[in-house]
Amino acid sequence: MQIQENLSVWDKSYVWTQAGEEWSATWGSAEAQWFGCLYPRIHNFVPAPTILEIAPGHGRWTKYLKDLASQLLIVDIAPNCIEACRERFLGSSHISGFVNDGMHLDMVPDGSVDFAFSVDSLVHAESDVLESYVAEMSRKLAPEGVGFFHHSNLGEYAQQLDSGKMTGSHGRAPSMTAEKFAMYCAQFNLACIGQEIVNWGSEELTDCFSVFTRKGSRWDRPNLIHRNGGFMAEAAVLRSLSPLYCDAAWPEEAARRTLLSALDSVG
Amino acid sequence: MSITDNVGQRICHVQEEAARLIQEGRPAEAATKLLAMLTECQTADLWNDLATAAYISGDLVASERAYRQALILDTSNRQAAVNLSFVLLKQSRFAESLPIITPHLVSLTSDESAAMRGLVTR
Repeated sequence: MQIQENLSVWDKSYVWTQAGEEWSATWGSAEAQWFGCLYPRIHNFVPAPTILEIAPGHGRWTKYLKDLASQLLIVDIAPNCIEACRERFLGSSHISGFVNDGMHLDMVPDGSVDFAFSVDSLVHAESDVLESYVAEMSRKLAPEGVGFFHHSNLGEYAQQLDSGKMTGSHGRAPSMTAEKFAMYCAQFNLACIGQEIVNWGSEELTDCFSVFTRKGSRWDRPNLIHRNGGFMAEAAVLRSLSPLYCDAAWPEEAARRTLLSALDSVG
Repeated sequence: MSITDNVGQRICHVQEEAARLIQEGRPAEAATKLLAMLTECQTADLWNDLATAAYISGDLVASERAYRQALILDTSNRQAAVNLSFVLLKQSRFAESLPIITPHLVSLTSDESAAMRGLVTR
Protein backbone atom coordinates (compact mmCIF):
# COMPACT_ATOMS: atom_id res chain seq x y z
CA MET A 1 0.00 0.00 0.00
CA GLN A 2 1.38 3.42 -0.88
CA ILE A 3 1.67 6.13 1.77
CA GLN A 4 -1.32 8.16 0.55
CA GLU A 5 -3.43 5.00 0.46
CA ASN A 6 -2.38 4.12 4.01
CA LEU A 7 -3.25 7.63 5.15
CA SER A 8 -6.62 7.51 3.43
CA VAL A 9 -7.55 4.10 4.86
CA TRP A 10 -6.44 4.58 8.47
CA ASP A 11 -7.35 8.25 8.79
CA LYS A 12 -10.60 8.30 6.85
CA SER A 13 -12.27 5.14 5.63
CA TYR A 14 -11.51 2.58 8.35
CA VAL A 15 -14.13 2.59 11.10
CA TRP A 16 -12.26 2.23 14.40
CA THR A 17 -15.16 0.94 16.45
CA GLN A 18 -13.00 -1.40 18.56
CA ALA A 19 -9.75 0.59 18.60
CA GLY A 20 -7.97 -2.17 16.67
CA GLU A 21 -8.90 -4.87 19.20
CA GLU A 22 -10.69 -6.66 16.38
CA TRP A 23 -7.35 -7.61 14.80
CA SER A 24 -6.44 -9.59 17.89
CA ALA A 25 -9.47 -11.88 17.77
CA THR A 26 -7.28 -14.73 16.51
CA TRP A 27 -5.35 -14.56 19.81
CA GLY A 28 -8.52 -14.18 21.87
CA SER A 29 -7.84 -10.51 22.69
CA ALA A 30 -5.17 -7.83 22.37
CA GLU A 31 -4.27 -8.61 25.98
CA ALA A 32 -3.66 -12.28 25.15
CA GLN A 33 -1.67 -11.31 22.06
CA TRP A 34 0.43 -8.86 24.06
CA PHE A 35 1.24 -11.08 27.01
CA GLY A 36 1.36 -14.39 25.14
CA CYS A 37 2.86 -13.43 21.81
CA LEU A 38 4.53 -10.00 21.80
CA TYR A 39 5.84 -9.46 25.32
CA PRO A 40 7.81 -12.74 25.36
CA ARG A 41 9.54 -11.59 22.17
CA ILE A 42 10.52 -8.13 23.48
CA HIS A 43 10.91 -8.75 27.20
CA ASN A 44 14.70 -8.40 27.12
CA PHE A 45 14.44 -4.83 25.85
CA VAL A 46 11.84 -3.40 28.25
CA PRO A 47 11.27 -1.49 30.41
CA ALA A 48 13.25 1.23 28.68
CA PRO A 49 13.58 4.95 29.49
CA THR A 50 12.38 6.14 26.07
CA ILE A 51 10.20 4.02 23.83
CA LEU A 52 9.14 5.03 20.33
CA GLU A 53 6.06 3.43 18.84
CA ILE A 54 5.55 3.88 15.12
CA ALA A 55 1.98 3.71 13.81
CA PRO A 56 0.12 3.03 17.07
CA GLY A 57 -3.33 3.25 15.49
CA HIS A 58 -5.78 3.78 18.32
CA GLY A 59 -3.37 2.54 20.98
CA ARG A 60 -3.76 -1.24 20.99
CA TRP A 61 -0.12 -1.69 22.09
CA THR A 62 0.35 1.82 23.50
CA LYS A 63 -1.83 0.68 26.38
CA TYR A 64 0.93 -1.74 27.43
CA LEU A 65 4.02 0.16 26.26
CA LYS A 66 3.07 3.21 28.35
CA ASP A 67 3.73 1.25 31.53
CA LEU A 68 7.18 0.21 30.32
CA ALA A 69 8.70 3.63 29.65
CA SER A 70 9.44 6.92 31.39
CA GLN A 71 8.78 8.60 28.08
CA LEU A 72 6.71 7.17 25.24
CA LEU A 73 6.74 8.82 21.82
CA ILE A 74 4.00 7.76 19.41
CA VAL A 75 4.11 8.70 15.74
CA ASP A 76 1.40 7.99 13.19
CA ILE A 77 0.64 9.18 9.68
CA ALA A 78 -3.08 9.40 10.51
CA PRO A 79 -4.12 12.45 12.56
CA ASN A 80 -7.22 10.64 13.81
CA CYS A 81 -5.02 7.95 15.35
CA ILE A 82 -2.92 10.42 17.34
CA GLU A 83 -6.08 12.24 18.41
CA ALA A 84 -7.69 8.97 19.52
CA CYS A 85 -4.57 8.09 21.55
CA ARG A 86 -4.58 11.56 23.13
CA GLU A 87 -8.15 11.01 24.28
CA ARG A 88 -7.57 7.42 25.36
CA PHE A 89 -4.42 8.18 27.37
CA LEU A 90 -5.43 11.64 28.52
CA GLY A 91 -3.90 11.30 31.97
CA SER A 92 -0.59 9.85 30.82
CA SER A 93 1.56 12.96 30.64
CA HIS A 94 4.65 10.93 29.68
CA ILE A 95 3.15 10.10 26.27
CA SER A 96 3.83 12.51 23.40
CA GLY A 97 1.97 12.08 20.13
CA PHE A 98 3.05 13.27 16.69
CA VAL A 99 1.61 13.10 13.18
CA ASN A 100 4.28 12.45 10.56
CA ASP A 101 4.55 11.99 6.80
CA GLY A 102 4.69 8.20 7.07
CA MET A 103 8.44 8.06 6.45
CA HIS A 104 10.38 10.45 8.66
CA LEU A 105 10.92 10.99 12.38
CA ASP A 106 12.15 14.58 12.56
CA MET A 107 10.26 15.10 15.82
CA VAL A 108 12.31 12.43 17.61
CA PRO A 109 15.66 13.62 19.01
CA ASP A 110 18.72 11.86 17.61
CA GLY A 111 20.21 9.17 19.83
CA SER A 112 17.22 9.19 22.17
CA VAL A 113 15.29 5.97 21.52
CA ASP A 114 16.07 3.05 23.80
CA PHE A 115 13.42 0.83 22.27
CA ALA A 116 11.53 1.27 18.99
CA PHE A 117 8.41 -0.79 18.43
CA SER A 118 5.90 -1.28 15.65
CA VAL A 119 3.49 -4.17 15.31
CA ASP A 120 0.62 -4.85 12.90
CA SER A 121 0.99 -1.53 11.10
CA LEU A 122 4.13 -1.39 8.96
CA VAL A 123 3.08 -4.69 7.39
CA HIS A 124 1.06 -2.49 5.01
CA ALA A 125 4.04 -0.27 4.21
CA GLU A 126 6.07 -0.76 1.04
CA SER A 127 9.83 -1.16 0.99
CA ASP A 128 10.54 2.55 0.46
CA VAL A 129 8.86 3.30 3.78
CA LEU A 130 10.78 0.61 5.66
CA GLU A 131 14.00 1.78 4.07
CA SER A 132 13.29 5.31 5.23
CA TYR A 133 12.41 4.22 8.77
CA VAL A 134 15.57 2.11 9.03
CA ALA A 135 17.57 5.15 7.91
CA GLU A 136 15.78 7.21 10.56
CA MET A 137 16.45 4.61 13.23
CA SER A 138 20.17 4.73 12.47
CA ARG A 139 20.02 8.32 13.79
CA LYS A 140 17.32 8.02 16.46
CA LEU A 141 18.44 4.92 18.35
CA ALA A 142 20.31 5.47 21.60
CA PRO A 143 23.81 3.90 21.72
CA GLU A 144 22.36 0.72 23.25
CA GLY A 145 18.94 1.05 21.65
CA VAL A 146 17.01 -1.79 20.04
CA GLY A 147 14.17 -1.89 17.54
CA PHE A 148 11.44 -4.47 16.98
CA PHE A 149 9.57 -3.96 13.71
CA HIS A 150 6.82 -6.13 12.30
CA HIS A 151 6.82 -5.80 8.53
CA SER A 152 5.78 -7.59 5.38
CA ASN A 153 7.63 -10.49 3.82
CA LEU A 154 5.07 -10.88 1.05
CA GLY A 155 7.65 -9.99 -1.58
CA GLU A 156 9.19 -13.42 -1.05
CA TYR A 157 6.08 -14.84 -2.69
CA ALA A 158 6.12 -12.68 -5.80
CA GLN A 159 5.66 -15.66 -8.11
CA GLN A 160 2.72 -17.10 -6.17
CA LEU A 161 1.18 -13.64 -6.02
CA ASP A 162 1.44 -13.27 -9.78
CA SER A 163 -0.05 -16.70 -10.38
CA GLY A 164 -2.84 -16.21 -7.82
CA LYS A 165 -1.69 -19.17 -5.74
CA MET A 166 -1.47 -17.34 -2.40
CA THR A 167 -3.72 -18.58 0.43
CA GLY A 168 -3.99 -15.01 1.73
CA SER A 169 -1.97 -11.81 1.71
CA HIS A 170 -3.89 -9.81 4.35
CA GLY A 171 -2.98 -6.48 2.83
CA ARG A 172 0.73 -7.09 3.26
CA ALA A 173 2.98 -4.88 1.13
CA PRO A 174 4.16 -6.89 -1.90
CA SER A 175 7.45 -5.02 -2.29
CA MET A 176 8.82 -5.82 1.18
CA THR A 177 10.83 -8.84 2.37
CA ALA A 178 12.82 -9.91 5.42
CA GLU A 179 15.94 -9.96 3.28
CA LYS A 180 15.43 -6.35 2.26
CA PHE A 181 15.06 -5.31 5.90
CA ALA A 182 18.38 -6.89 6.80
CA MET A 183 19.92 -5.22 3.76
CA TYR A 184 18.60 -1.79 4.80
CA CYS A 185 20.09 -2.30 8.25
CA ALA A 186 23.48 -3.04 6.73
CA GLN A 187 23.12 -0.08 4.36
CA PHE A 188 22.49 2.33 7.26
CA ASN A 189 25.12 0.89 9.56
CA LEU A 190 22.71 -0.94 11.86
CA ALA A 191 22.87 -4.59 12.84
CA CYS A 192 19.86 -6.77 12.14
CA ILE A 193 20.20 -9.31 14.94
CA GLY A 194 17.09 -11.44 14.67
CA GLN A 195 14.34 -12.16 12.18
CA GLU A 196 11.35 -14.37 12.86
CA ILE A 197 9.52 -14.97 9.61
CA VAL A 198 5.95 -16.04 10.32
CA ASN A 199 2.65 -16.92 8.73
CA TRP A 200 -0.23 -14.58 9.52
CA GLY A 201 -3.64 -16.00 8.75
CA SER A 202 -2.21 -17.89 5.80
CA GLU A 203 0.10 -20.79 5.04
CA GLU A 204 2.82 -18.63 3.52
CA LEU A 205 5.29 -16.83 5.77
CA THR A 206 4.08 -13.36 4.76
CA ASP A 207 5.25 -11.47 7.86
CA CYS A 208 8.48 -10.82 9.69
CA PHE A 209 9.53 -9.55 13.12
CA SER A 210 12.92 -7.93 12.72
CA VAL A 211 15.10 -6.98 15.68
CA PHE A 212 17.91 -4.49 15.11
CA THR A 213 20.41 -2.42 17.03
CA ARG A 214 23.43 -0.22 16.56
CA LYS A 215 26.55 -1.99 15.41
CA GLY A 216 28.75 -2.60 18.41
CA SER A 217 25.98 -2.24 20.97
CA ARG A 218 25.73 -4.86 23.69
CA TRP A 219 22.91 -6.49 21.71
CA ASP A 220 24.90 -6.83 18.51
CA ARG A 221 25.36 -10.33 17.15
CA PRO A 222 25.08 -12.12 13.82
CA ASN A 223 21.53 -12.18 12.47
CA LEU A 224 19.53 -15.21 13.64
CA ILE A 225 16.79 -16.09 11.20
CA HIS A 226 13.97 -18.41 12.19
CA ARG A 227 11.17 -19.44 9.85
CA ASN A 228 8.16 -20.06 12.06
CA GLY A 229 5.28 -21.73 10.24
CA GLY A 230 3.59 -22.47 13.56
CA PHE A 231 2.76 -18.89 14.39
CA MET A 232 -0.98 -19.34 13.86
CA ALA A 233 -0.95 -22.52 15.93
CA GLU A 234 0.60 -20.46 18.75
CA ALA A 235 -2.23 -17.93 18.33
CA ALA A 236 -4.81 -20.71 18.57
CA VAL A 237 -3.34 -21.94 21.85
CA LEU A 238 -3.41 -18.41 23.27
CA ARG A 239 -7.01 -17.98 22.13
CA SER A 240 -8.01 -21.15 23.95
CA LEU A 241 -6.27 -19.94 27.14
CA SER A 242 -7.50 -16.35 26.91
CA PRO A 243 -10.88 -16.89 28.66
CA LEU A 244 -9.09 -18.47 31.63
CA TYR A 245 -6.57 -15.74 32.31
CA CYS A 246 -7.39 -12.47 30.54
CA ASP A 247 -9.26 -9.37 31.68
CA ALA A 248 -12.55 -10.58 30.25
CA ALA A 249 -12.57 -13.22 32.96
CA TRP A 250 -12.48 -10.49 35.65
CA PRO A 251 -13.97 -7.30 34.17
CA GLU A 252 -14.36 -5.53 37.50
CA GLU A 253 -10.77 -6.25 38.53
CA ALA A 254 -9.54 -5.14 35.11
CA ALA A 255 -11.46 -1.87 35.40
CA ARG A 256 -10.17 -1.37 38.96
CA ARG A 257 -6.58 -1.75 37.82
CA THR A 258 -7.13 0.54 34.82
CA LEU A 259 -8.60 3.18 37.10
CA LEU A 260 -5.76 2.87 39.59
CA SER A 261 -3.22 3.16 36.80
CA ALA A 262 -5.03 6.23 35.45
CA LEU A 263 -5.02 7.83 38.92
CA ASP A 264 -1.30 7.14 39.19
CA SER A 265 -0.73 8.75 35.80
CA VAL A 266 -2.53 11.98 36.67
CA GLY A 267 -0.74 12.11 40.02
CA MET B 1 -36.62 41.49 36.71
CA SER B 2 -37.87 38.72 34.42
CA ILE B 3 -39.74 35.62 35.49
CA THR B 4 -36.67 33.57 34.55
CA ASP B 5 -34.45 35.64 36.83
CA ASN B 6 -36.92 35.03 39.63
CA VAL B 7 -36.81 31.24 39.13
CA GLY B 8 -33.04 31.37 38.95
CA GLN B 9 -32.88 33.25 42.24
CA ARG B 10 -35.22 30.76 43.91
CA ILE B 11 -33.11 27.84 42.65
CA CYS B 12 -30.02 29.45 44.17
CA HIS B 13 -31.87 30.03 47.41
CA VAL B 14 -33.09 26.41 47.57
CA GLN B 15 -29.59 25.12 46.80
CA GLU B 16 -28.07 27.25 49.56
CA GLU B 17 -30.72 26.14 52.00
CA ALA B 18 -30.24 22.49 51.03
CA ALA B 19 -26.49 22.80 51.50
CA ARG B 20 -27.05 24.27 54.95
CA LEU B 21 -29.48 21.50 55.91
CA ILE B 22 -27.05 18.84 54.70
CA GLN B 23 -24.28 20.42 56.76
CA GLU B 24 -26.57 20.34 59.76
CA GLY B 25 -27.14 16.63 59.25
CA ARG B 26 -30.69 17.01 57.92
CA PRO B 27 -30.39 15.54 54.40
CA ALA B 28 -34.01 14.35 54.27
CA GLU B 29 -35.28 17.91 54.75
CA ALA B 30 -32.81 19.10 52.10
CA ALA B 31 -34.14 16.47 49.70
CA THR B 32 -37.74 17.58 50.29
CA LYS B 33 -36.89 21.18 49.41
CA LEU B 34 -34.89 20.16 46.34
CA LEU B 35 -37.67 17.87 45.12
CA ALA B 36 -40.21 20.66 45.48
CA MET B 37 -38.02 22.93 43.38
CA LEU B 38 -37.51 20.18 40.81
CA THR B 39 -41.26 19.93 40.24
CA GLU B 40 -41.03 23.53 39.09
CA CYS B 41 -37.75 23.55 37.23
CA GLN B 42 -35.40 20.78 36.11
CA THR B 43 -31.67 21.53 36.22
CA ALA B 44 -28.66 19.24 36.39
CA ASP B 45 -27.36 21.06 39.48
CA LEU B 46 -30.62 20.53 41.37
CA TRP B 47 -30.56 16.82 40.54
CA ASN B 48 -26.90 16.70 41.57
CA ASP B 49 -27.74 18.27 44.94
CA LEU B 50 -30.71 15.94 45.42
CA ALA B 51 -28.42 12.99 44.66
CA THR B 52 -25.92 14.24 47.23
CA ALA B 53 -28.68 14.54 49.85
CA ALA B 54 -29.73 10.95 49.08
CA TYR B 55 -26.11 9.80 49.29
CA ILE B 56 -25.66 11.38 52.70
CA SER B 57 -28.89 9.72 53.82
CA GLY B 58 -27.31 6.42 52.81
CA ASP B 59 -29.71 5.78 49.93
CA LEU B 60 -27.24 4.81 47.19
CA VAL B 61 -29.99 3.70 44.79
CA ALA B 62 -31.79 7.05 44.88
CA SER B 63 -28.47 8.84 44.77
CA GLU B 64 -27.32 7.00 41.63
CA ARG B 65 -30.66 7.58 39.93
CA ALA B 66 -30.52 11.33 40.62
CA TYR B 67 -26.89 11.71 39.49
CA ARG B 68 -27.77 9.90 36.28
CA GLN B 69 -30.71 12.26 35.80
CA ALA B 70 -28.34 15.20 36.22
CA LEU B 71 -26.11 13.77 33.51
CA ILE B 72 -29.06 13.22 31.20
CA LEU B 73 -29.85 16.94 31.49
CA ASP B 74 -26.20 17.95 31.16
CA THR B 75 -23.82 15.28 29.86
CA SER B 76 -20.80 17.47 30.59
CA ASN B 77 -21.68 18.16 34.24
CA ARG B 78 -18.37 17.42 35.88
CA GLN B 79 -19.61 17.38 39.45
CA ALA B 80 -22.43 14.92 38.73
CA ALA B 81 -20.05 12.64 36.81
CA VAL B 82 -17.45 12.65 39.58
CA ASN B 83 -20.11 12.10 42.25
CA LEU B 84 -21.76 9.28 40.30
CA SER B 85 -18.36 7.62 39.97
CA PHE B 86 -17.93 7.77 43.73
CA VAL B 87 -21.34 6.16 44.26
CA LEU B 88 -20.46 3.36 41.86
CA LEU B 89 -16.97 2.85 43.30
CA LYS B 90 -18.41 2.67 46.79
CA GLN B 91 -20.28 -0.39 45.53
CA SER B 92 -17.15 -1.77 43.77
CA ARG B 93 -18.78 -1.23 40.36
CA PHE B 94 -15.45 -0.36 38.72
CA ALA B 95 -16.39 -1.24 35.15
CA GLU B 96 -19.39 1.10 35.19
CA SER B 97 -17.47 3.88 36.88
CA LEU B 98 -14.46 3.84 34.55
CA PRO B 99 -16.00 5.41 31.41
CA ILE B 100 -17.84 8.01 33.49
CA ILE B 101 -14.79 9.24 35.39
CA THR B 102 -12.14 8.90 32.68
CA PRO B 103 -12.87 12.26 30.94
CA HIS B 104 -12.62 14.03 34.31
CA LEU B 105 -9.51 12.38 35.74
CA VAL B 106 -7.23 15.27 34.85
CA SER B 107 -9.52 17.77 36.60
CA LEU B 108 -9.81 15.88 39.89
CA THR B 109 -8.83 17.88 42.94
CA SER B 110 -6.25 16.32 45.24
CA ASP B 111 -9.01 15.53 47.76
CA GLU B 112 -11.18 13.87 45.10
CA SER B 113 -8.21 11.95 43.78
CA ALA B 114 -7.23 10.71 47.25
CA ALA B 115 -10.82 9.70 48.04
CA MET B 116 -11.12 7.86 44.75
CA ARG B 117 -7.82 6.08 45.30
CA GLY B 118 -9.12 5.01 48.70
CA LEU B 119 -12.19 3.43 47.11
CA VAL B 120 -10.15 1.74 44.38
CA THR B 121 -7.50 0.28 46.67
CA ARG B 122 -9.62 -0.83 49.62
